[in-house]
Amino acid sequence: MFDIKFEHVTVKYGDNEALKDITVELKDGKIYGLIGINGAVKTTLLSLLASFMEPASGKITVNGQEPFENAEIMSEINFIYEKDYKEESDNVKGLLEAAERYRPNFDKEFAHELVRRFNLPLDKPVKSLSRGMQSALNVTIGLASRTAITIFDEAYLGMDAPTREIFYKAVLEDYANHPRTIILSTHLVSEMDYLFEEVVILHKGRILLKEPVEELLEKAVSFTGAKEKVDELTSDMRVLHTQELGGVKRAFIYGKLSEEKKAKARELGLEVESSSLQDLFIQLTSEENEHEI
Amino acid sequence: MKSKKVFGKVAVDMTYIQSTWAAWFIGIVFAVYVLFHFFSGNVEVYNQSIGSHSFLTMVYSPSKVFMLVVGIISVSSFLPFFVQHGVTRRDYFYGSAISSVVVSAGLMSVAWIVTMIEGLIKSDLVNHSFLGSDASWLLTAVVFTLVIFAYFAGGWLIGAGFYRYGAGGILYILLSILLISLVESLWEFKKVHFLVVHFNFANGEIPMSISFLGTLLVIALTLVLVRVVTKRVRIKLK
Repeated sequence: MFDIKFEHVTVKYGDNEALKDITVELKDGKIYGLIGINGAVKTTLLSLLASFMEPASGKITVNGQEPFENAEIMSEINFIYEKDYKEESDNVKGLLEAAERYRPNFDKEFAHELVRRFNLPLDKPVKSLSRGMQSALNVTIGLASRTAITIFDEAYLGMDAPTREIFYKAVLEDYANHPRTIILSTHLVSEMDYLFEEVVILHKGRILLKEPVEELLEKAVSFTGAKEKVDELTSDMRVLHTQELGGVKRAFIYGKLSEEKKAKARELGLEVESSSLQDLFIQLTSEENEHEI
Repeated sequence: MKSKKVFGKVAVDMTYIQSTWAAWFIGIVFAVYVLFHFFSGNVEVYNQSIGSHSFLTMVYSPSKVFMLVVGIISVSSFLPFFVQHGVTRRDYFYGSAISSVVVSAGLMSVAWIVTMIEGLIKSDLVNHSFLGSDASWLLTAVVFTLVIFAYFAGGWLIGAGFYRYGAGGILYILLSILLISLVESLWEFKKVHFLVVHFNFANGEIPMSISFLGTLLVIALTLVLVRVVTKRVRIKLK
């Protein structure tokens, strides 16, 4: 079992606290979406897990053991990020072979299947590939390595929309065949939300929330209708954001909706809609809307 | 994956890559050596005509520079790659140390073989060893390997210092110069070196056993320093 635990983890860059007292647990065998506005903060969190660095304070454990310099754990964690390949003279084939040497569960056939799907040229030097192609190579290495914990940190950068679709499809397909923990860090929430089982929102160096997507979306609804009726219904609710046009108001709510409230909304003639993860993320993290969840 | 297996893999992979570089290096030095030999007329090296120097003597100094450079780029070129592939800093350290010993010995062996062949062809080869014309082959081979490995270790320390501390790595250059100078002074038989003066050896020569022991100690110290600097180093995301 590769359960991940962060306990009171803090990271500082000089005087600046990048991560503040992070405590979160990620159970083994799920696809997690890590979303947050600041890419560097997400990357910091993930690079801790990948043993690229140590926290200033706090503890990280995987399967009860600290991953840092732990050969058994490190070989089962793969951190895929946008690498700078401008000095990489090796070709695609060479890099795949290198990954195969160090990853105990590397699936060569699957790697070549992905190479075919992404249209990657095996013999071309990696430095001469486009940014999107380099990302496709990273993703190929990440998926084919079949590590217990695979981290894709905005791994799609430079990919065009159809290539990103190939990536998402491959993630779901391979996860179904070989269940393991996959962490997808992204700001393209609307495009990737269907991939996530659970979502972790990171904001200003803290964990804003961690919840299964279904439960989260149940709590995120909007009411639209006459301004005074919307106000009447939402007076005792947590309103994240409102939009007004003429006499019509739309209020975005966060919180479990009781049957009673649903009935009242119907009675008041309000339109009830589920918010998307993207909307919820934007509202939770907007500057004027500092929410404690 | 067992750690023993992993550092072995690192050693094999790094040996392969560094040997490729070494092959280019020694090929180029050999070409220059041959060209000078046939076309330069009367070129003097170490106050003697180039014709009287063996290839082994000629390649000794460039090999030090080569190994120094290989050492300097080791951390920045290889450590992030290995950590990204789930290899620990410890396995990288052992693998890299082993591969560099192998490459040092490999460079020496090639130079030694070329010089052997050279000895069969040329009768006027006086200075077959950089340790002096009366030095034995075995001694020459061991000292060659040890000294160029010490240069690698010195370079490795500089690279590690810069990787970890950025501009603060400059201090590691000074430290490295000090360590390499120590090794050099232990083998400079013919020159009166500052250490020789300092320790006041009567005949200006350091006993062989001290030279060996001293060199091994300096190498060990340098390796320990490299390990301390890289043990928990943060890997830059590049």
